Amino acid sequence: MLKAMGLVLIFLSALPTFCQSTSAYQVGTITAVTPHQGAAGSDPFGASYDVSVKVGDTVYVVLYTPPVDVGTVKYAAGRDLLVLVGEKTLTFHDQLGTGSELPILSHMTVATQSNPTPESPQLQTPIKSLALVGLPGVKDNTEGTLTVEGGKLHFSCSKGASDIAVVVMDDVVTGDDSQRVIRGTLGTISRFGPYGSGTFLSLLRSKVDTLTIQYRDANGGLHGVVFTVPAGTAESVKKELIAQGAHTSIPIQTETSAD
Amino acid sequence: MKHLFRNATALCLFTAMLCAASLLHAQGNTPKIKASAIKVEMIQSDEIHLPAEFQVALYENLIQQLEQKGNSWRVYRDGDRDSANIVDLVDLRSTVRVFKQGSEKARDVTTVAGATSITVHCQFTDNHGKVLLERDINGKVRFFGGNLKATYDFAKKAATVAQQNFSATEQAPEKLAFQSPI
Repeated sequence: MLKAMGLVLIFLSALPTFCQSTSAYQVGTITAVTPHQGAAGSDPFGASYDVSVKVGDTVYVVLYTPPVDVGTVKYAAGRDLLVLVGEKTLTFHDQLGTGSELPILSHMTVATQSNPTPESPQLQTPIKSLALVGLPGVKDNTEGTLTVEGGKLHFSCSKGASDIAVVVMDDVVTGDDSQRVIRGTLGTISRFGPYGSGTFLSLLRSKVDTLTIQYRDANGGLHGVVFTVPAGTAESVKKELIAQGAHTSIPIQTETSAD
Repeated sequence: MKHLFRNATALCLFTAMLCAASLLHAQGNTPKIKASAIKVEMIQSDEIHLPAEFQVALYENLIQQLEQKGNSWRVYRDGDRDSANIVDLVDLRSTVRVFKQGSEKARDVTTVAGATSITVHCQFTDNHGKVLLERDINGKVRFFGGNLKATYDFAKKAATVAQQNFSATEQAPEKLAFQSPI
């Protein structure tokens, strides 16, 4: 009898363990911050923001009202933080250890890196490219190759490489242009060729596409990079970047031109 | 007569040198504005249609040149959280006023035609929004180089203007203690 009671008590003490929902803090990444479009008559004193936080393969949009609006939350995209996802709220602890519960406005499941959508295969074939300006760790006008893999835009050249995470890209814009076939020091010297040969060589130009990217670093600082790629390839790179989470101010169907 | 002419020429030259020296001395004595750091805002072009690559090239070249011109001040980018509440921070706002996109092909073939020119209105303000300095700076490429070289020319001139008018404070940029939770 006593043994049976003991077994029942042990079972009852272990029962809550199975009933508990597995609630643990997870790493979330802030993917976007936009001003909240509140209803008329909402609090006029504090600005609120719709903060998109990606946890695993789900993006939660929560309403955040900073205690003192100095505008720094606008540049929080790209930051990681520990969050606890509840049924209707999302909890995080700030750097001072203070916990805040934010109401979840909406959530959606997105494709993960391990399951790319069939319509947008990762751009793993290297594209010959020229980094014109702005790429960190790479000198201006450096030739190399571009690939989009693992959620990053990867530029590789003989003297090194540089990566830009796709999720922090604020804008991706393409354009078209042309450049001299014979460039650099040789191109400058060839301009002075005799009997008009320099002028003739100047007419030899190749069409190129430009790829302009604006992105934010971990501190919210805005960076810009300009690449040139072979004509007709910029749109495919842009499509791939957008498929993996980059933003753009110009839809893919619209073309910009510059000559 | 010969001596009179020679003496008159020498006197004119001496007077011109004296005027130039006094002008240079006056310029050198203009007090510089103290600045512990410069924050560069993204280039604006509300009135002019500016291709995206020019906008980014202007911004990045400007930051590069300001960092190179040195004066040991810290250069912050648009939106950098570390620049919040820094004492003696100078904000640089640039707006494109004139943009004439030339043609590298025309420059190569004709030499005299096809120049690319950009005029940018640069406004330096302090933490309270008070305008410290305003200039219209022009960048152009006439003979050698692609169209984007005009942005490099502008950046060099803008950095020179900043160097001539602002001096870095001796100590590192100070910040107020407040820090936002996110």
